[in-house]
Amino acid sequence: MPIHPNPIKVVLIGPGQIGIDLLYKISRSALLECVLVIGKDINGQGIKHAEQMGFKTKAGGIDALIDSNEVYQLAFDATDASFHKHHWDVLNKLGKRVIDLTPSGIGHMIVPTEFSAADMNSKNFNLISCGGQAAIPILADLSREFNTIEYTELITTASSPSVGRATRLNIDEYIYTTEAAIKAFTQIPNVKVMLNISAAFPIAFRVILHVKGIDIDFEKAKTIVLGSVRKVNEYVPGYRLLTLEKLEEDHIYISVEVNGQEDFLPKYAGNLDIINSAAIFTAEKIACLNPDL
Amino acid sequence: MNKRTIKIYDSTLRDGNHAVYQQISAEQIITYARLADQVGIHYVEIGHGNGLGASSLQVGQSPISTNEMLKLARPHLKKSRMSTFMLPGWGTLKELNVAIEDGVDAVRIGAHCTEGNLTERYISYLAKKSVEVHGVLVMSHMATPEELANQASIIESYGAHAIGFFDSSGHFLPEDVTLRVEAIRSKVKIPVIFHAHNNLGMAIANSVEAIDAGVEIIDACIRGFGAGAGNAQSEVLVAVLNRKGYITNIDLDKILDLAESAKNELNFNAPSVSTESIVSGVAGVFSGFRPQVIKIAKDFNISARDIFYELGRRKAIAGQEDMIIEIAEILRNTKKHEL
Repeated sequence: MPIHPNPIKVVLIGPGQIGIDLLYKISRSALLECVLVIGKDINGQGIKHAEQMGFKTKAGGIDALIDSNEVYQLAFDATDASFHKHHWDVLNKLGKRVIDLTPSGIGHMIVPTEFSAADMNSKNFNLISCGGQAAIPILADLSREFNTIEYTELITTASSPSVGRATRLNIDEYIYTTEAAIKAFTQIPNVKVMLNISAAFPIAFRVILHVKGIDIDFEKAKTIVLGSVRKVNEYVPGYRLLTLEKLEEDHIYISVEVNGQEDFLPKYAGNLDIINSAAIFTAEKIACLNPDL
Repeated sequence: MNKRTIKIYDSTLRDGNHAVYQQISAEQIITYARLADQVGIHYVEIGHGNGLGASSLQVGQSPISTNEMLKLARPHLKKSRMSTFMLPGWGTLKELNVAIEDGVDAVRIGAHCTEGNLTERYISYLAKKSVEVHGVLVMSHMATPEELANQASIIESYGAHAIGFFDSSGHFLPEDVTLRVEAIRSKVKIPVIFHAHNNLGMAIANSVEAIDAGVEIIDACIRGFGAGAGNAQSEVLVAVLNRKGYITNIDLDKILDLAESAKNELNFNAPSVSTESIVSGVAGVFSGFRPQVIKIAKDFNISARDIFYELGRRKAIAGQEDMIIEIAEILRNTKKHEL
């Protein structure tokens, strides 16, 4: 349990694989105290696991949270995009902040390396996507330095077991959301996002970036990318640069690999770990900067 | 003897795009479409090698998008069914809808052989429109016949009109094909498709074997013009099938004329079974990697064969061209240490 005098109190909605992994990360955090875990089914594996970890649990979904008298400032929604709108409506009325781990796309987009105090004006924090979290730190830094970047391409490869049915039915949304987010954070005019699912098991989450533009000093770009990677490492320990090559005069190629921390999710699920890590970062910022709201 | 009707699915303008690193031009598309239509080929598939939405730095940029190719070809395909290809994650419903608006008759939705459920949304969607939809499982040497049959059954449940398995790396021998056709046919009612590659010189034999085992739609390219060592050569296939008594509804002389035009007017060069192609076939690596592997092997001064063996070991799939560079770097560094 945390020993920091004033951790903020948080609630987890949705103790699935992602939610349980998040609980382990919350346990490590001196700034967060999880006071309640909300699940659907009292006999569900998720609730049982959370209980075994020592957390207070309740079944019955968001209605159970409304009925409880728990005091908390922030909720993590690790359920499903289709539930999130309703959860947000409820939590907003209750004056709570929400970190959305679903791909609903409703709230304010957060990328930890781009975080500023102005982000604290929001109540609903949306973590974009695994590809977005992996690529935007690098692309934002590069585009700030080089305003001649005209095109970027992001290709991610995730291990088949780390990509569930819900994700597979929403691949188009992943692509559109991630493309829009990259444009919003970088001003790069042309963006293309693609994804592969690999059945070669196990492989870490792979992130490929192609960056095209004239007048990009490659040595300077290298320094910048190394800096971006270091910043991401502060909250995603398994984020590692693999390759940084100049393929043509105006074409840079970057590849990154993300291994998960194996809190609960397997090591190859770096795509899920990076979202959870970004969620913890955001929650800790709230704890530091705006704990009472 | 009462033999079945076999539909030829011509992938010259899609798989052939892999042979020229996605550089088939608008003029070539219009000319080939016009000539193929006169031959009576049932389906003519058109697109970037990796399908709708795939033009990219990762796998090659085509001069025009797949959507634009379909628009150009449509008026010239009056009898043949115009078809295209899409991989979820590369193309989206956006591109699919434009293709439908531009009058595409059939769409292939592809997925890696163990990931059939990636096609769910797209096959269900297309089945509701009046578009013929095929689900196809690529790199199918990476699944056992039983696994492949299960995936085929899942795809059938989404509403696909036909189910196919691709030998994307040209790895199969005829017995591998028979086992898979039989397994799939034991699980589905819809017609089965087979798509061969020639890396081990087996494309025609495998295709004929597949048909004998019950396949009804067979993929082929004129002059074998396709990825890596190429596909089953259409004109050879028609000659063989006609002799075996199958009904192709294709006049041999007409398809031979098409082959001549493809060679003389369109410069669709017949691929050969090169050393790299043999290695990629043996290693079970996607044929379409060939141009990139050769280029990077040259740039990094290492052996293309070694790259292919390592890609095989890592079970790289189509779309993972990025692994070529990573492997090349590792091999180059290993070489340095050994010196």
